[in-house]
Amino acid sequence: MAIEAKVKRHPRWPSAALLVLLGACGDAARPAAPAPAVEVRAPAPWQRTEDRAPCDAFNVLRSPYFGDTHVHTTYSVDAVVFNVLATPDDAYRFARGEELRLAPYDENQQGTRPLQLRRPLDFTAVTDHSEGFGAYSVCFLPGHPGYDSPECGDLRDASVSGDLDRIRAVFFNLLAPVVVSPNPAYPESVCGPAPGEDCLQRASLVWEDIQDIGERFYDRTSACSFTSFVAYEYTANTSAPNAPLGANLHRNVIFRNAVVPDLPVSYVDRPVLQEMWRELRARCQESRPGCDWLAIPHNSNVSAGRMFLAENADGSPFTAADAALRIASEPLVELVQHKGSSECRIGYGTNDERCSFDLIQRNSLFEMTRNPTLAFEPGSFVRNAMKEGLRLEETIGVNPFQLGVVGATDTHNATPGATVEMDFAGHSGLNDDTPELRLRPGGPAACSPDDPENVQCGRGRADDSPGGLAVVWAEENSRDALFAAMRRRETYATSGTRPIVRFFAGDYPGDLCDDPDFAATGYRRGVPMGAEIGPLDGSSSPVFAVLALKDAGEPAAGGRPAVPGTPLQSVQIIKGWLDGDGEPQEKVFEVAGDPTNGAGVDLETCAPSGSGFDSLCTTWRDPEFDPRQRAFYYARILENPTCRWSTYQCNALGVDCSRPDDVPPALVACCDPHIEKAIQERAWASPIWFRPDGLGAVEGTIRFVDANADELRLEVPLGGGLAHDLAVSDLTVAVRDDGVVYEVTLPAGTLRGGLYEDESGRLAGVTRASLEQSGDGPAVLTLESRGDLSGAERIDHMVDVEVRIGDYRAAQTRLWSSSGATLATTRE
Amino acid sequence: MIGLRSPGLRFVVLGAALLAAKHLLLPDLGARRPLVLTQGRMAQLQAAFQRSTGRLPGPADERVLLDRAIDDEVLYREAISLGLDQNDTSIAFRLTEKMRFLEEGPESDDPIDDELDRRARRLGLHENDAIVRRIAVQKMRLLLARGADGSPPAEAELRAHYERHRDEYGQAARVGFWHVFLGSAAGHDAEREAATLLERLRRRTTPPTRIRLGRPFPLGTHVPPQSARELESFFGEEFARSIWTLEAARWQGPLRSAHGLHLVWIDEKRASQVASFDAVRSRVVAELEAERRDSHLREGLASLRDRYVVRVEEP
Repeated sequence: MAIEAKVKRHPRWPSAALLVLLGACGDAARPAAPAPAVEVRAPAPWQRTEDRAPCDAFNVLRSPYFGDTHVHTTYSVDAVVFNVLATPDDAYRFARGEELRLAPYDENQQGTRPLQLRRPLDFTAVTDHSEGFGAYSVCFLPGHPGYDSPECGDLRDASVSGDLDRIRAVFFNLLAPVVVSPNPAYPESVCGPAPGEDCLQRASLVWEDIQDIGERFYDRTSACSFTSFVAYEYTANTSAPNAPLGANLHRNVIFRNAVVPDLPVSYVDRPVLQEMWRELRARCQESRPGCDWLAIPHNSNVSAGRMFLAENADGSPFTAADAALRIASEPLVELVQHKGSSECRIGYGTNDERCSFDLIQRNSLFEMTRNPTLAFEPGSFVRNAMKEGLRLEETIGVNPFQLGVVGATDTHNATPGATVEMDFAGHSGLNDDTPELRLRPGGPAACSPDDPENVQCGRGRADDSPGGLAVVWAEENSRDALFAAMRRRETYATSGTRPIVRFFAGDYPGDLCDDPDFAATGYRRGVPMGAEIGPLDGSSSPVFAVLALKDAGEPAAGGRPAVPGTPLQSVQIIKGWLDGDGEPQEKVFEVAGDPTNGAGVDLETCAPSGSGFDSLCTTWRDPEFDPRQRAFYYARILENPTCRWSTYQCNALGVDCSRPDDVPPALVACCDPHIEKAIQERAWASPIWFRPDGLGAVEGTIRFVDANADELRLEVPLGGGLAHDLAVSDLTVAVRDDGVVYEVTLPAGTLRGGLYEDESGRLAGVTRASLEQSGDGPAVLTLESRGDLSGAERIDHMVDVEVRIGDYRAAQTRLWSSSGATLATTRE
Repeated sequence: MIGLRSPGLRFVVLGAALLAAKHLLLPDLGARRPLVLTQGRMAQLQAAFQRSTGRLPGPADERVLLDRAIDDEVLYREAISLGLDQNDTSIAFRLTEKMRFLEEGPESDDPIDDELDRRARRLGLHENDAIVRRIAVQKMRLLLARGADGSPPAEAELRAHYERHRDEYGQAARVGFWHVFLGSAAGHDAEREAATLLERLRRRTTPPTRIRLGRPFPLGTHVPPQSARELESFFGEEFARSIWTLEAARWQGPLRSAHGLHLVWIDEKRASQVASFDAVRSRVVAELEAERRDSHLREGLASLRDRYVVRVEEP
């Protein structure tokens, strides 16, 4: 079944634009590679859509893969303008552990600042700004009239000049009409007459090159040493009264495999978000078999509160369908990156002190000053969006913000995964290639008086940081496996370090922390991070289990000694819920470790002091649990304090804040109380949602008898209220692994009276279905069926059970065990 | 000097694959006019160099500039002789614009006017126009890179490429194992616990199928085959180094990781190897095509240059 589910790889066809460009026509599709034989050790709960070898390290219990989902190279105009010449090729080499030499470049065109990851990444998505593909190509490669436009000339000259004021002015002039305007258009002098045909033609060349490079670095052998993703950034801004230059609505679009549209759908093509999603679906899922994508919004912290608006472009509120489109398109959010963290901020919906981590003093992307008295918007922060999502689910029936989390760098230096504080080398070429530039203070004083139009000059850099990492729990390091994990949100974000974190919720007898089979039991009797769960065992709270290992540390490399990982300090569970009045609430619970362990760091030497934990494990029940209330729970794992990057660099420059008069004006940020000296690196595990109307502990058994006589029995606890709908809505139950094992739809009214029996099994083999409900409380749906279930693999593996009633949809994936002729949720 | 590092050549190479002419042979149209690079032209190139790099070209730079100028001129002349400037929308746009400017004709919505285009050509406006020139040169490069024979690489060529680059298809050595994780919590003597447990475990000599001892470890009790790099990332340097020294198929340890002690049963140990041809076939195809386009361009350019007598004006 795994093999039949494969979708053939489609040869790529040249785009019409290219053929026009070359004045040629005809079929130039490249030959497709022959399919390697696929032998799957265990079916995953996802389809294999690629021609590739399965991985030697396939693990049904999943492994954590570390990556970066947000990376810019020279193809991004805001990178090349700062003289970043590194290509996607360089970025992937860097991710795999090769050295990259960063700008400035010497007379031999070699970068002068070597940088190398001591621990390579497992996967990377290069996400250049799609809006600039064409302009980049027109301005830097002769051949089109636009090459000689004053804009392109300025861009080329500024880029090599190293004059930051000039670069920023040129950059902004070129960029503003494209990505800051609500009515974006390509500049005619660069891109030719509207709609900018020259740039569109050239954009396809860049896009094809990005795909080709991605292919070369994707390891399709069974070693599975590295995965690239074809991806781009959709660079949208929206106008907002509190953000005159536009609020950031950027998101990265990541494709599942090599089947992608001929061109990205950019902000210029579709400036309205909802239309972008629809257009991308039209050009991908709806027209190319095997094509799939998801988008990851980022920097809601500079969206002036606009990133998570539950309304359409015309101001109309989200309907269930709008919310469903959003969450289907965007299951994840980037929680932390170089322009700060977006989790939460004290005074804006929370008083959680631990929110004060990597916050930046800007409310919108192009804010001029680093103003400590600036006001922020609650809607800029992800935790508030998650709470709002609960409210929306209650009112419209679908949660548009049921978001998993990842971290990323957003590097504009083509250096994915370069998140180590002590090695921070800046983010975009000549813009911050020296410690002084990285630490430069913001504010009007930083702007040249004769250049009042230069909106970016006042932006300080000291509150930027190296950014974070995305960690994905997947069966193997392949595109399908990683993408499926992102789609089901089984991900966590880190602020750049590499702790390993498991997070489950379920119906666990005994203490899961005493169980060496933690993960197996976790999946057998519950669900992992990113999933949802309904009422278990009457009215009691699910058991939440967190298992965290500290970062194992950086190995010795290039003459530098190994750096041990920082011990863990504590584990928190953050709960958000809707109270009895339908109002969102939140609370932080300390669940493991010791938040007052007294660990610290010497701010002059950066030597750590005090002790912490090599690993932490805990199980926890919500003491305030109410089975009638929608809630989410996410885990936050804190490390002991360490020096922030700025502290390392200020110390190296010999700044002494106890003698303020001696601190050079350029380095005042070293002593700015708003810039933290020490930080607690951390991980955030995607939430687990409790839905009062969700599925409780699903029990299932498949008995393999013989063809057409296999038996299925399902017992599905459903939340209250649903039983009423069965009179008017069809009920669909589906059982899947990497393909459909079984599916049946019982027409509305079939379960009238609570029971349906048919020995002949005319309805997809159903012999008996029943619904037992006590009052308005939870109900139990029981389904017995007979037929051919040989599609289910006879081996321990993940099986997904989905229930749909009208608009209602809930699913639960658990690890089913194989024993003899039985496959079942519990061991027999 | 973005040009030297820019991915421009890759574009050239890329686009070339899409050229449709099935069997393009470059006709030798007889003797060429000698190619003369004037002092003025060289001064222009030097000035452009200085503008973009902020320094004067050295002797090595001058050689590069000269070489490029010759290539450009050769490519331009050959492109024109093949008519590559015909039926090109970008060129037509440029010439329409130029003609309109000359005739001070009315502004028009139509960016391309065939009649204006024709008149411009009759007046020779396309000759030595910088933009027309660049477009023609780029098309010529695309044509050369594609080579005379556009057929996909033959199986034998692919295999030969694979053999030449065997070293680049290496796969790291890997080790997979069962383990009992004992942690490092304060107040418990993990070393002693490890010794006791090891003794117990060694009483059984069959491979484990499930581990019911020790503490939970996020990666589980069975770790699928990992490379040294992966082990280092999960377990730390010391563990990643020492596990390679252990024998397979017996309980051993304890090994120390960043998180505590582990007793280990190695069930899979494979030496580093070279991926099979079939496993990397699609990568080989991509690499070989790129290589062929590079060499087609190089050789094509060299053979075209042979058709010209080049004279460089002495200062």
